[in-house]
Amino acid sequence: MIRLILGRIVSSIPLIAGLITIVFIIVRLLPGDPMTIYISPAVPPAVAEQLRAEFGFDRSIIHQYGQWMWGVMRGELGFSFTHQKDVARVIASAFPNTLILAAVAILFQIIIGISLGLLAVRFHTSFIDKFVSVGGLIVYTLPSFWVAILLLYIFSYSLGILPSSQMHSIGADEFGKMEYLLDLLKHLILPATVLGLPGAAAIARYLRTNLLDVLNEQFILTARSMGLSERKIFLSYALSNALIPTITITGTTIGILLAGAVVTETIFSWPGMGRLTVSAIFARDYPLIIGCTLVAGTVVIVGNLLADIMYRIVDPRIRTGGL
Amino acid sequence: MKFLYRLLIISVTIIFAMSGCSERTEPDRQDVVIIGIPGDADTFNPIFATGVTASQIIDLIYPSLVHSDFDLDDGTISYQPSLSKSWEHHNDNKSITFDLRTDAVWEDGTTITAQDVYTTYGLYGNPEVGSVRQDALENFLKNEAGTPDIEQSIEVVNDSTITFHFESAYTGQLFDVGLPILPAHIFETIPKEDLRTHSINRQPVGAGPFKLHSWTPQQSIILESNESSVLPQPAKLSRLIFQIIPDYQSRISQLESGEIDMMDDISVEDAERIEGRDSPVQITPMPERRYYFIGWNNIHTRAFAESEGQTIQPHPLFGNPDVRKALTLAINREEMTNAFFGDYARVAGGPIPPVFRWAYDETLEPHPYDPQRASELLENAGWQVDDTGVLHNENNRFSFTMMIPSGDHIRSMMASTIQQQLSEINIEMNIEQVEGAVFLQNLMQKSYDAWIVGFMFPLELQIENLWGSDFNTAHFNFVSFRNERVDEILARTRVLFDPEEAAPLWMEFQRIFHQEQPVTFLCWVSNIVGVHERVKGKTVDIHGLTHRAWEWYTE
Repeated sequence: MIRLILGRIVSSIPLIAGLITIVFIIVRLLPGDPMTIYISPAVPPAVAEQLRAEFGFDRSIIHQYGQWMWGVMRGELGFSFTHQKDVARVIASAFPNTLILAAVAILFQIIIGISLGLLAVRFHTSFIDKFVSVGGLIVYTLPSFWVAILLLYIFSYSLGILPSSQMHSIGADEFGKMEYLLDLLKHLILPATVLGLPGAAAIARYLRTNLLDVLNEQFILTARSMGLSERKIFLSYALSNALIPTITITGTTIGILLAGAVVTETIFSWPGMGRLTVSAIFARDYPLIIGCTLVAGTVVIVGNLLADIMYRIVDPRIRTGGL
Repeated sequence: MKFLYRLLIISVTIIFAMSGCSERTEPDRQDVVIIGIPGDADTFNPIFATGVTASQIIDLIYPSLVHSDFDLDDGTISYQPSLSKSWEHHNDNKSITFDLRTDAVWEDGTTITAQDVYTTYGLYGNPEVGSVRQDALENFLKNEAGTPDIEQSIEVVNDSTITFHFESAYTGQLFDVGLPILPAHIFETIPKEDLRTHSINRQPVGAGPFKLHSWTPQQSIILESNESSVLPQPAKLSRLIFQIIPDYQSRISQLESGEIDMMDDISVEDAERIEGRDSPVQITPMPERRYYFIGWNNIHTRAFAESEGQTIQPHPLFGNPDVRKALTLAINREEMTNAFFGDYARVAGGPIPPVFRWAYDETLEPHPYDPQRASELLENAGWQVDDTGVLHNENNRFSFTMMIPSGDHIRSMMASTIQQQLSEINIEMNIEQVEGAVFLQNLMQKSYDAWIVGFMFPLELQIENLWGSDFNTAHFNFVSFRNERVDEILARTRVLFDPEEAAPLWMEFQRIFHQEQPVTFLCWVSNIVGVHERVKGKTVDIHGLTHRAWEWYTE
């Protein structure tokens, strides 16, 4: 297991280096640079030029790339122009917020996805089954911004029972600990639902299909012929086998969650990595764009690694066969 | 299975229980006003701040020598005492001596003195610091290197007296000395190279009516009343909150649901919808300072670029004033203004907005929509319709590309309308959209033939950088308009302190534009502001939303 983890970490390094190199090149191919935010009737062009030189944008791309890579190797991600502080500090303030949102979204998709999947199998060929099967497909394909606006309209503006934006209410810093936590959870419901819904739909559909397949396997028939109780057969044999793909889906949806967070965080004014990335792109804040990419890439790789590890734990066939 | 069902039921119960808690956790909104804004501040240091939010907050936190007010009745800007009690012009108006208040203190209790003013302007003017407000010191006395000489320009007479010396007398002096003042006892200890990243930029120590309570990046900026302020007073509100809501639809929905109390830049459709029903949100248009115009490059773009700015020839299509006038006549500006902005805009006929009542020429009617007259003018200028149905002269087809910044819905619709109307007089127009920053860069390099821009007019009638003939100083004369008489008027009005004396010159200025049509002015547009009725005080000001926020209170 340790060899697997170490091997994955080593193989991830060139992958991340390649990723950020590509992003580095792409953002510089775009017209304009961060100093364009200083172009206004109030700013003398000389100031923009001076700043351009100060931050090294007057140098060649290769020089800038070398300098930046050297910084990354030393753990320095550069300076964000729009936030006027180190990229690492900017990301450190946004990343935990996305982590909270993604964690709740994952929890949501697992609970709802598995529950609906089980319901569909329990009432196979009934209305519930069709609802999960067809409804799941529809939810999976709905654009997240549309779902977000719909939920906002219903729960925030019409019913007025859930907050429509931000992580906390105004003045939440003066709440007690429990009240503060409840306030955060209340703010999490809508964005986490929007973010977790496609994953929940996918899990429900996968689980349904897998479970139905497994229940028709020979070993289930064998278990039945051996006189085991249906409960024992279902929990110990069928479900544990059918759940394996769910772990893979959860691992791979981490990347999708991050991508979805860009839209969800913007609509719900959630102060996380998604919003940070969007604002960095619009402001041409190169160091911040690449910093965000680095974090997103790392998260996807770590997510997949965790899925692999979990897969090995729950599925002995993989463990013996190696990866 | 049962466990999962239980978990599901418990989760749903918790969700609804928490929803029920909404009343309990709702904070007290008495004496609190929440403004919804699209983006966060970059810094609270006025030396570097570029964004609107940052500037609004800086003005409420940091003191300044004078406070400006715009009188909408006569259209003049006036300056009120603030950190200075009074001032006196002398040396043929080339110097101003300010008598400062002695009772004003920084948040940390330190008394504000003339040294604070001197140190602050030293930072604004120091090229090594790279302040975005350097241009305010353009008329200060200069050293040999051509940069502002602070020692010569600013004289600290004593703790409460300071004199500014200028190269020449001009009307914008008080505007230029009205920049935010910083605490010298803090900024003098910060090395120049650390200024941009120092923690003071996020934790300002001010002396204005508000002070910073907290800044949660990408979430909110909370100001609270500064009880020790005498500049001019502690804010009546206990808190003023800037809630960052990037999505416009979320922002407007929260305004209507009462989650936020005010926002600006409301679309005409939303403004009309809110006004049309019984809503606690009051819709008020801020007087027109924004304007749109079509820039026709007056000079030959390629010749100018190839000669690196040395060759100035008339543009092959737009170099002739009669042709530009024909283009204006061919565009139905009234219909366009009504369609896009309803009652919140009016057709623009010239370069001075109607709010400058004393300088605005009401007698000068904007050119009407008259495509027939436009065709006659073009024919007289040598343009004939060719086989393809497009105007043609000896050397050129009348075909060009209109540039607009991408993502600007209004300008995109305007361009389509203009394209259709110009085709009716046999002019071929293409439309191209480019990214905003690139658009601006190309304008500054004068590389486009035609474009649509939206500008904000300054509150001081100083527009040399827009219409002056010297391209080195008139950075925003994108159309490269050159007119000797216009230069004379700009130079003369710059030193005329009495509006009555300057008014006839500005009238002449507008007549020249009416005749020359260096650009086609489209419309003056109001910024539509929505304010919840519980907020009282002067919430709408031509300076901006929060100009007198210390006077606000809630009911």
